This record gives sequence, structure tokens and C-alpha cells, in this order.
Amino acid sequence: MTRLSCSAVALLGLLLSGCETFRSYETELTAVNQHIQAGDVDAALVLLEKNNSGDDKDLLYYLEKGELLRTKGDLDASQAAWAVADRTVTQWEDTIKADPEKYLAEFGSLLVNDKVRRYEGYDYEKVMLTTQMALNHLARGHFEQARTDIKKTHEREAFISELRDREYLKREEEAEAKGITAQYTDLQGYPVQTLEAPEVLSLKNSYQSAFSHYLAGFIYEALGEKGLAAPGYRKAIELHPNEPLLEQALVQLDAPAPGSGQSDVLIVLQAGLAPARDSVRIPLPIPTTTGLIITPLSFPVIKSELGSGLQGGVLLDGEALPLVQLNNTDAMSRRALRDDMPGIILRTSVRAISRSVLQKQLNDNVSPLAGLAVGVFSAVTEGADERTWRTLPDQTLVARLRLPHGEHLITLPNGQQAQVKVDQAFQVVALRMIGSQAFAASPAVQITPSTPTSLAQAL
Amino acid sequence: MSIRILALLTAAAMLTGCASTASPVLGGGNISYGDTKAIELVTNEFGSTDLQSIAESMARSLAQSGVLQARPVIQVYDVKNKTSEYIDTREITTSIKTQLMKSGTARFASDNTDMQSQVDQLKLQNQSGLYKDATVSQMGNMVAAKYRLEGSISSIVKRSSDYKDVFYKFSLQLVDVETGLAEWMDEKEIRKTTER
Amino acid sequence: MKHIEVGAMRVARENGFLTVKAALTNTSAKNKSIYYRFAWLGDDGFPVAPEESWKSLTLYGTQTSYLPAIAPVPQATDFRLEVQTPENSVNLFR
Repeated sequence: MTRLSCSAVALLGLLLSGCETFRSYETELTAVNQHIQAGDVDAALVLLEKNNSGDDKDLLYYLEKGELLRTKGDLDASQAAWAVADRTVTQWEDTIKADPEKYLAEFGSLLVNDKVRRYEGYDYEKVMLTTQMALNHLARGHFEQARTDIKKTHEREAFISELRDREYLKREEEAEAKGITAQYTDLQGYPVQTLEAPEVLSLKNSYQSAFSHYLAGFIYEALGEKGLAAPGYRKAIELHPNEPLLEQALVQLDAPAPGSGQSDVLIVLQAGLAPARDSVRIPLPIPTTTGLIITPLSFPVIKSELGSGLQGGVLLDGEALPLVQLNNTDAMSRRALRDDMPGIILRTSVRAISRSVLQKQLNDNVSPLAGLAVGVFSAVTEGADERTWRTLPDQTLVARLRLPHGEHLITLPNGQQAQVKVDQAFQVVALRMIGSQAFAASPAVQITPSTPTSLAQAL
Repeated sequence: MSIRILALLTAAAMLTGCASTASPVLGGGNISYGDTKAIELVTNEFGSTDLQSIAESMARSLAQSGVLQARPVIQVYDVKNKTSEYIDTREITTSIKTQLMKSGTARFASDNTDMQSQVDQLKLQNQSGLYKDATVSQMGNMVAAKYRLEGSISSIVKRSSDYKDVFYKFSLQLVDVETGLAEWMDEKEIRKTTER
Repeated sequence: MKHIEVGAMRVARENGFLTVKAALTNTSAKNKSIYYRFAWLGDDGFPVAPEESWKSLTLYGTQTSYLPAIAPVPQATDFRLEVQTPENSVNLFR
């Protein structure tokens, strides 16, 4: 009997070693990010492919791949990868629109481990996906195609906002029914201050980004559709109040368009990397039939990627360029976690209760070894969901000015210089900085390696 | 017993008398064409019914007001969107233009979006040397507008735990270009309420 | 239609276009919502304009409301008022 159960446990372990539950996304992507921070995007891509060698690649693979290809400068391949990701998200939207109640019931499914669930993407990731796609189009001056993507962005945002309203209501009712009302502030040992920071609390919600709406306003203005540009700027102002750049945009909407020889240029500098999600084990008292048992449970915690953000000022043609930060993925990720925590606590607690019940039953009716097997299995596989879009830029900073046509020079904080060719009436110049590495995500921008004299000038 | 047989026979007779003509639909499932004029209450935002009702009431009010004598030329300007919602106001003005044209009360000059194509076409005909002189449209003969049509749409959104109330106000005015006087003005108000 | 009565209608031709005002009365004490639209007919009795969009109206208890309408084209000489209420029912065996 004991030999059978021993071999059963061993077999189980073997079968599951190839399974999703054993994958540590956090370590995988930390390795990929190290390649990028060293400036080697090709090695990062190779590593990403190696980690996802199966046939059924999930949404996260396409998201990361698209961003890596964009950083490399291969915009066509980047768009192709993101188009697949976009189709997945559209399917998600369609299934919900067809039967919203079913989705809400499944989402609240309390017995399935978060890690095993198919990755759907966090709300802010879905919104940023189409925004990044629009930036890809704008890098080549295709405003019409960018319009399609940015229109999808704000329509998707509206859909998500309605869905979440309904979901939070339902979840509150469920939590009350189950009697589990623990807050994340009750978890002893949880780094509460990461979720209570002022920049997290000041956000209206976790998915609306002022940058997406500002970009939408700029694209509509470039296409002459002032009726759609005005609400874009207004929404951006609503999400990011007291910002002269945004208010100026609304006022300038009524001013005449740039004359011949002049360009309305939007400089978009995306810096840093999105934060990682890690697991932390917290002991929580679980009510069982034999009384309260302290069980260690895993909860997700956000780990910022420090050191990859913007480290200094930027010069344009020798003069300091004032940049305004319109988007902070770190804060949005924390806010998403903060809003999800009640649901996570509920699901984790219920799973722990059902597991302890199962263990007790196995102990009493089958054999103590079977109960132990369940315990070992759950201890090994239980972990918080670490999956998140890691290569997404953290900070998005913009500057908007009128420039004469011709060549302009942008000096970056790491000493490198970017040559920008300005020739359209409306133009978007996109740059990507990760730590001390700079990447040009557009054909109109050429980055020259740093020289000691330019570094001195920058300082 | 005989009544049962009779009932069975009549049922059989009725069923054999029914024959259906094959439906000319491919696919099917849960997709169908809806009524374009139906009232759309899917979400609280600006919808197709609002677009239709605004265009209809504004166009008819202007046509019937008696201000448009002898089919004057009108230049349509963008409707200013003063709301925080992405409303394509150009569609509203296009609908108004279409309905006014069909009523036969006004003619329209090229507005700022069509102007570039108009200028390009004239330049192409006159300056490229490709066209027969007799068929070319001469430059300097475009008809200037007598009136200017412009408007704005604004909204007030109020929310409480039970209600979300959105109030739209669309206003349109017809201004005489030479005198600068507003000859006609009208407004349309729409209220949409969601009860949770 | 339960509790909705179509009352008097006034027709006039102003500035070349047919204008109609139709009275609709709610005979019950509760609020009733109705949907209505006008169809515009020419001399031969056939429509001269495409279908209109449906309009929604809430009548308070015992309220009489006047529906104003203007024809879309000068060729309209007659009209038809279509009213729909959510409580419509048709007796199949009449």
C-alpha cells in the first residue's frame, strides 16, 4: 500500500514538472530583462523563444515579443506579434459581450489556482497594447492606421470600465456571503506600504492612462478631427489634473495649424521596465472543522524595477527639454493589485479551506500518506500568479513643441545623441530608454553612440 | 379508438401539407441584421439613436423655418465637442447636410475637409495640360457661401450609487456671412438615465 | 394599446412643409413609456421619405402630451402616426 502511494506521488511529480504550475515567470523575465539592460535585444528574443517552446503560446508571449521587437526597431514584426495578442483580447471581449454573467461566474471560480488560469492580461496591459500599436504606426507617419488603434484603445477602456463596475459589485456580495472579510492590511508580514503609496491612491483606477487619451487627442487633431481631439485632451486633463501641457493642448486646438515649414512635434520618451510580480508567504488562520489552523498561503507582491528609469534630463538642440510624465505603469500595476487583493484573498482562503477538508478526509478514510501527498503537492505548486507584461515601459514622458522642418538633435541622459528628421505637419518622435541603453523605435530617429564631449555637454 | 386514429391521420395530413422554402442565409448562429431605426439602449453613452434624432430634428427645423429662401449656399463648420466623450460630431453634420439636401431647401459649399480635394481637382484640370480645354472647369468660378452653419454639443453627467444621468445639449446656429447676424438657432436636449 | 389614447390632431402647411401636432393621452394613473414615429405620405398614399427613427416618450399619469412633427420634404401631403408600447398584445383568436 505504502509503495503504491509513494510511486503515485512520484508519478504525479513527474507529470506536473512540465506543467504550467511549475513555471516561475518572474525568474524567466528577470533573465530576459537583464539582456535588455545590457543592450542585447537579440539575446533577449532568443531567450524568450526558448522559454516558450511549446506550440500553444499564450497572450503574454506575444505581448513581450512585440515590445522586444519594437525596441529592436523591427516594427513590422512587432505589429504582427501584437496583432495576434490583439485578436486574443478581442476574443475575450466578445465572449464577455455574448454572455457577461457566465464570465463573471467563471472569473469568480474559487477553486482554480490563479497560476493555472489562462492569462487574460491585466486591464492596463490591454489598454497599453493598442496604445503601443498606435505608436508603431505613428513612428512611420501612418496617422490613419494609428487612428484605428487608438480608437480601439478608448473603446476598450469604456468596455473594461463597465465590466469592472459589475464585477466589483458581484465580488463584494460574494465575500459577504462567504463571511471572509480579511483585508490585505490584516496580512501580517505583507508589504502594505507598496500598495498604499500616494501615487497609487491618487489614480482614478488601474487602467485609464492619461497618455493614451493625450495621444488620441493628438492623432485626431493631426487628422483634422477636432471634435474627437477635444474629448481626448479633456479626458487626459481629468486623469492628470493641474498639468499645463495638457491644458495648453486644449487651448491650442482652436489655434491655426502649423504653417508650411513648421511641424507640431510630439516627443514621446518611454523609460524603464514594468514591475515584477513576486510571491510572498503569509500565515493566515483558516477556519476548519477542527478549529482555526494557521496555514502559510502565497500572495502576490509587486517588485519595482528600480534603476531602469530615466536618469537625468534631456536636451533638444542644446537646450533643456521639459518632459512631463503622463503614465506610470508601476503605479497602475500596484493599483491593479490593490483592487484585486480582496478577490485574491477570498480565492486563496477558500482554496485553503477546501484543501484542508480534502486532506482531513484522505487522512481519515484513505491513508495518512495520501493526505500527505496532497499536502506536499499543494505546498510545492501553491504560489501567487507571477505573470505580467514585464517589458512594457514604466514611465512615459512627453514634450510637445513647434519645430521648423529639418534635422534636430536630442541629447539623452546617457550621453547618446539622437538625430531626428522633422518633415511632416504633425509628427511623433518615439524614443525608448532602459537604464543607460537608448533605442530608437522609429525610422526617422538615428541614435549615435556616446562620445565623451557630448556627455560633458549634457552635464 | 377510431377517434385516436382520426386525430393521428389529421395530424399527419397537416404536417405533410407544410413545406418550407429554403432560407437564403449562410451561417446563421447568433448573428442577425437589426433595425437601423430602433432605439438603442445598450449603454449610457452617446449612441446611434441620439445621432439620428439630433440630425432629424435640426434639419427639419431649419428647412421649415423659412429662413432658407431660394436655396442659398451654406458652409458647414465643425460642431464643437464640449463633452468628454468621443463623439464623432462630423457624422452629425453629415447627416444634417444629407437631410437638408434631400428636402431641397439648401446647397452646400465645400467645407474644410473637402476643400483640399476640390482645390487639387481644379489645379489638376487647369494646370496639368492633360484635359481638353472645352471640358475644363475654369478657376475663379466657385460660389461663395451665403450662410455659415456651426454648433456645439455639451454634456452634464451626474452619478450617484443608484443612478447615472447624462444630459446632452446640442445647439446649432445659422449665421449670415456678410452681416454676421445669426438668422436661425435651435437646440436639442437628450437625457439618458441608467438605474442600477 | 392599454391606457394610451390618440386624441385630436392638427395639420398645417407652414413655409411649404407639412406640420402636425398630435395629442396623446395617458388614461391610467401610472407613468407609461411609449415609442412613436411619423410616416410621411404623398398624394398617392405612398411614403415620400425613408422611415424615421423611433422616438421614446414617457407620459406621466393622466398626462396629455402633444407630439410635434415636421415633414422632411415638401412633397408630403399626408401622414401616419405609429405608436408602440411595451405592453402591446395581440389577440390571436379575434
